[in-house]
Amino acid sequence: MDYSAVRIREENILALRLFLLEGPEAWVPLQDKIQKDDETAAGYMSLLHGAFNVAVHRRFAPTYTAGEIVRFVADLRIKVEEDARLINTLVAEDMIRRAVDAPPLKDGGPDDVESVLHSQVFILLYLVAEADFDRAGLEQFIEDATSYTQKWLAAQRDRSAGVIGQESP
Amino acid sequence: MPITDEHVAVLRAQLAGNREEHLRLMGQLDSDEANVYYTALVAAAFIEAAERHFIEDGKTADESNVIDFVAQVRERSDESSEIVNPQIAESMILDLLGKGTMVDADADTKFGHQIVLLAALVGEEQFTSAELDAFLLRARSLADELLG
Repeated sequence: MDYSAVRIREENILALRLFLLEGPEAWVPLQDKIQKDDETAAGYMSLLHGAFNVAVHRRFAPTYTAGEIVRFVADLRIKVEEDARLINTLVAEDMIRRAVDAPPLKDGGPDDVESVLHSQVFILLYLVAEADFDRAGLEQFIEDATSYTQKWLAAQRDRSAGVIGQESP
Repeated sequence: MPITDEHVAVLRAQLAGNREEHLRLMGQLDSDEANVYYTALVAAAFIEAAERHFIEDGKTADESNVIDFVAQVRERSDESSEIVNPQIAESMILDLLGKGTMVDADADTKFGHQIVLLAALVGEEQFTSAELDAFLLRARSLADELLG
């Protein structure tokens, strides 16, 4: 992935707001736009990743226990009823642990894109529903998510530059 | 060979929380007794305990009760959240209740999960000594059936 070409644009922020208000269905009409190329898709997915991290941080940092993470994922799976089977418990717990810089699980479950994305989306939407944002609260959350994502992308670019630098003679 | 008093005593010590006695008695079993008879007794006790917990007046608990129970076991400590694989634990119970299929796991992993879940189920019952004996008697009878 060429992170130097990934930018968070207004259309990404608009899409995140739609996603948070209406759920994943809101992105169905955007499929062609999102999948234009890897860098465009990364703009949308990076912002979703950023929103997930900010939401998890707000919920669990600075203090949490492993037991609270276990209970949170169990309550989420109970809440979504039939869709519980879409959420791999270990994947979901491991993603939350990583977001709060906790030691990852020894067995973090499968790492396929589908398992990770399902967990990320269900956790994010559950946390947003739990937060019960008013209009200003939602805008602040989106702003925090955007800021987090821009820093995260900058770190990815630095890392890529470092790797390329190391490869140079 | 049927389940013996010695096999039951090993499990009783474990479920009563007497770890030293459990290990001492376990050490007295030969490998065949440990691998075949004690394993069958644990499996039978797990079935008894799970049915007692999840089936009430002929009504089987739903999946959310199973998710909640396994989370209760795992949220107790960092160690238990790592030891108990939720997918394996939930599928073992759901399979038993006729509401799902057991996921693939090797025999040692299944046995380990049965022991942890059994201990948790029995712990919740808060059996008196006489009730624990009665529970083990039923498990022994079922284990004899399983061994055919």
